[in-house]
Amino acid sequence: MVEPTPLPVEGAGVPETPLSTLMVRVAKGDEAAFAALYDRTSAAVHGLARRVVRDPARAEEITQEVYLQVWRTAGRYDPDRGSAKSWLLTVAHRRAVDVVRHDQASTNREARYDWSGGRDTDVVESAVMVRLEHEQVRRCLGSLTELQREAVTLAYYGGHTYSNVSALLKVNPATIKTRMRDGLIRLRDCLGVAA
Amino acid sequence: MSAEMHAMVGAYALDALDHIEQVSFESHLASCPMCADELVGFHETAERLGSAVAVAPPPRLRTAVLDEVSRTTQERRVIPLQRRDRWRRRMPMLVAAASALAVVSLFGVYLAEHDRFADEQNQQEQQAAVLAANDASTTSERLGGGTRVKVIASDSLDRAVVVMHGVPPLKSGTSYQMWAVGSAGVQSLGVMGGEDLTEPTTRLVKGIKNADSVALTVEPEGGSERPTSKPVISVDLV
Ligand SMILES: [Zn+2]
Repeated sequence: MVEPTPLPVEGAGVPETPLSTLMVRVAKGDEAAFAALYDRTSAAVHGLARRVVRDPARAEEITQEVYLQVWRTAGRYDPDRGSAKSWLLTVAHRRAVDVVRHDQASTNREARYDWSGGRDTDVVESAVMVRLEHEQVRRCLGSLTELQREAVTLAYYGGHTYSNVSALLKVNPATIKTRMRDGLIRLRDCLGVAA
Repeated sequence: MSAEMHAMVGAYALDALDHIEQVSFESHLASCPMCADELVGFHETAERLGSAVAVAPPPRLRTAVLDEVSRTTQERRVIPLQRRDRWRRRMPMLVAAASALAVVSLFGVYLAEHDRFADEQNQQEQQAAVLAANDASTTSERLGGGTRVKVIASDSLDRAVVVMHGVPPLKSGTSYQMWAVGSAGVQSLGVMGGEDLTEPTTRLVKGIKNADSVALTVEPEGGSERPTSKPVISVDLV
């Protein structure tokens, strides 16, 4: 009787296939590569969607839509121009933000005469008080000025436009735009991201 | 103008621009290697922010996704190879600009899910040209039911960018059709199906220089020769 060959286990000395290689295979219609890509990236895509839309059912829909779009259009991914994961999360974020802004527009439509005004404060808190498990990201966010941190997290985790952020924080829009860029530069350098 | 554009790269990377600014920034990006370079690093940085809030989805989602994928065909590559070869043959000083363009097609064009065709880059450039035209005039209108419409029209380019928020959903078997309405009559500006309705819905239309207003009607699927119903949206051009 032949012993079954054990599957390679992560962290067991077997180098993982780079995500960019998986993407290239996905572009050729390789479903097994797609499943592997899903297994290695879906927590980030789903977690980000959930953070932005704050609705578990919506977050699952977005995750599903993002992966279908990735499957359909994988041929557009070019490994020379950025990591596969940043590409996936860029797609996921854009999609989540669209959903949140669309829902917000419908909520405004439905609740035309009910301007309770309570929501925005909640949003500020939930976005800024984000509990980050990831130590390095938390430390680097902590190295930003308060305004840089608020501008970046309200936009990225809260899905707000810079003009919304400007209204929420009562700071002029041009300043907010500049703080977003300065904040990202500082974060990038702190995280050691190769530009 | 340019410094103002460079300053938007952070907000763009965070998806924090409104739709019109996003379109103008993408057109800037196509000719600004500096912003394109910076954007690559910003997207990698954003990826870390996203990964820091990871939550595994339920296992049934994996089954659903893999199942749907096995039934879904993949699209052909969109960037024509010819065009890439042409870039390579250009002067080295153009290499940076070419890589900027490639980043746009990677991050910008790819993401605009509703602009899926090969001429999408061209569409964006035209939209940006209308927004930047010297004679561009803007009309905004708030209609009932939360619908808002903004028309940016340039007579010299004979084109307009129409941005619609909160367009009511279509019943099956119907389409929206946009019309240029002038003293000489009514001319179709194009048909939109339910799948074209994004939030906001943005259309670049051609043939408006003799029009007094732009109108949107509900028509049988695929559109009509001339309007068959009263407009759900009508905006007077200035
Ligand atoms: Zn620039």
